[in-house]
Amino acid sequence: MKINKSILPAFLFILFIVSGFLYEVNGQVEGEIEGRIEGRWSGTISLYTKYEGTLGLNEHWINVSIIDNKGTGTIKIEGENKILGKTSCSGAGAVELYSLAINLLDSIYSFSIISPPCNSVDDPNGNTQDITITDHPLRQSHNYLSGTETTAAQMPNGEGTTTTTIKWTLVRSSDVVLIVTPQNYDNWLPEPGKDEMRKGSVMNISLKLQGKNGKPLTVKATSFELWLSNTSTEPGITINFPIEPDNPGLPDLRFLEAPAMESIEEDQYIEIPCANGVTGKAYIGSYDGGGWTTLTAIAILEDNSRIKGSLLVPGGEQEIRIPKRDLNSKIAKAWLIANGNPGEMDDIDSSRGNPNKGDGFTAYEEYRGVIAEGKFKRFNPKKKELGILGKQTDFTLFNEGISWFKTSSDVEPVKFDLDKKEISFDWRLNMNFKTAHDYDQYALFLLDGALRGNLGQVFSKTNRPDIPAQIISVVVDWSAIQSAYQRRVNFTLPERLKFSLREYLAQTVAHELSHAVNVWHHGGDIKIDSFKVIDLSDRIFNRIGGLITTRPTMLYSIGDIQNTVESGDLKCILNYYPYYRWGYTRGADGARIFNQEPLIPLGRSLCKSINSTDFNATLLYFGNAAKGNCLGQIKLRN
Amino acid sequence: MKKTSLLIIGILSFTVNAMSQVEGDVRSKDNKRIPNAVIIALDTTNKIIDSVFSADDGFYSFETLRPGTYTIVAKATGFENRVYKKIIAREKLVNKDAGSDISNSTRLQIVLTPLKPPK
Repeated sequence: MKINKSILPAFLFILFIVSGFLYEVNGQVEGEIEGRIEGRWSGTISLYTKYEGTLGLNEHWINVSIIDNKGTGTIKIEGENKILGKTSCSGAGAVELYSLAINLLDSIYSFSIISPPCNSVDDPNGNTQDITITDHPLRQSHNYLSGTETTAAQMPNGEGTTTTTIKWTLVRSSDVVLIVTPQNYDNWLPEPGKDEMRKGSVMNISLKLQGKNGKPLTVKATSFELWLSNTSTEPGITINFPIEPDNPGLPDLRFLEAPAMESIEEDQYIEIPCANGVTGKAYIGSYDGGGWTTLTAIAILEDNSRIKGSLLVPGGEQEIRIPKRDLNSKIAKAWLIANGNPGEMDDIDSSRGNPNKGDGFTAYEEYRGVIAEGKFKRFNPKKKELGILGKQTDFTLFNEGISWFKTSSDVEPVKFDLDKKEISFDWRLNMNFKTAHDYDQYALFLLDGALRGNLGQVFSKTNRPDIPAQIISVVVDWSAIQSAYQRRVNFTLPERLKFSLREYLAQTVAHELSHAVNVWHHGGDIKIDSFKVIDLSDRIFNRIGGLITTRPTMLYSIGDIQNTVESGDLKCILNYYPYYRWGYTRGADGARIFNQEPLIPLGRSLCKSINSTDFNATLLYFGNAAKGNCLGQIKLRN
Repeated sequence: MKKTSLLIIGILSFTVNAMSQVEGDVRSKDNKRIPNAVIIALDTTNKIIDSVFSADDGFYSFETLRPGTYTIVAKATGFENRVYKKIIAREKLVNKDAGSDISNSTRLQIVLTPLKPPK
């Protein structure tokens, strides 16, 4: 066909107008993708074409937005043609993804979409235009297609250049969702096993592929892949155990092949075949009381696409924090809620009648817990805990005294077994830590041992009642207590003591433990004279107030009128009763009056003031304490 | 000048007189107290500084050691010898207010293992 030269420019321009068909033609050439769409896609596609040449200027704009393969778009074409003059058309309306195919073998994909018709006054039923991308390399996942392509084409006979830029972002809208259900997610807590290589609690993870919005499944899973990331690697299994961790770098939460099996390596990734195409199970073993991690689950589908799992419901979190906890928190939400929501570094435990906050453990350390007497135990962030180290034989002997101390002080003693090496050799309790540590806290070493002249004794680096970090040991001499009790029984005859040997031991234990948490005596060991010669003006009364007329030549162990170790509240464990035998005062006539100490039960509380009670309140005995409020003196840390 | 000399003499005398105490008791592994055990304190050059016997209730005490680091060796008939190294004897502090049941002595409980009977 011969074309008249005069109409050639117009012909070329019309050719350009329909150049959009070039893309359509490309798409049709790749017949393999025609009309076939893998999956449902959402996103945006835009095209900009510019012709510049001898005929003038012509520009195309197409913008399309789709959801699940369908959507709306706009088209605008404007031209300034030397022959035809100004031309323009525009349109807006429904669009549809025409084809989309992914070739995994070659890692390429192609797609095509049809624009709305571009209408003008002259042509109210204008043409649609196709945008086609062919064999673009897959760069990210199969579910996310994004790119920019710019092509430049020379028009025939040097009539000009056409430059086209296409930009697109398409995300696969899956028809299926993977639901990840950690069993008992709200309340599950990590617990350690008996040692570093034995798991404690196990979290069961259920995986289930399901259709979106209740629709039936259209595709099945071939396998699941799970990862744990940002997993804690705290040394040991609790803050105290073992005292020399063998595997301090292993993650605290690890995948298990089966619930009964152990993990011996890092095990932060696991692949699970999906036999039924729908469900799977995974298990996370806990090897620490305070472990934390983030779980990610992926289902690999038959079409090789990958679906990221969501926590509990479609649209749920895909980075699943285990145990359930707030972002950036190491502590399980369930424990925080149950314990008043303390901050991770808080050490603000309190005890009744005491102004000194804290027990030396951060809330995270209290949560992470200890191995005590062979068992895992978390501490209470509201309550002061005190570690006591000893042999089981000694604990059997001292349990009642420890109980007296607990009841009177409102401090919770936690016993650690010396023979099981539950505490390091310097008695440091919270020695296993990597994070959230504030203070080195120590346990008290309590033992039955021989002493000279004392029933109990606290060995303190500072030679004074002090905090546990300064205490070397607390020694109670059971043998000496038995002897001392028998002497008191003999001395008191024919009357009887108002306390038993068992109580004598218990009070001694509680008394010495109190010194080891910074509690002082009520006063000094002030005696008038241990061997007092009685002169004729002295009056001596027995313990029920009767005048003793058969006067002894000497009185032993006479306490001063106030501020002695036996002063103040006689119900207090720190009161030395029974220590002195006689109280001393002066009569109105200036005569010395000696009063035999009455028989009363042993004190088993901690006093709240210097005020005297019982016979001390009579002015005949030891009066007010020099130092009282034993309860308020308790201190566990600096 | 006179005052300075006196001060120096005072410090020297304090240093010379500084004492510490290491005490404890000697027990068998089954927690029975062992009397008549010999306990020896050696200094860091392994020179014997002092030795004492444990009493009937197993109690022993070195009362005149100078502050420092010691090796304590315990021997008793029918038991294996036991060595405790790097035992620190602190300078004895005086604190009348604290009471007689508070001490900064070093407390070392010595635990001995019975000798195995010959086969």
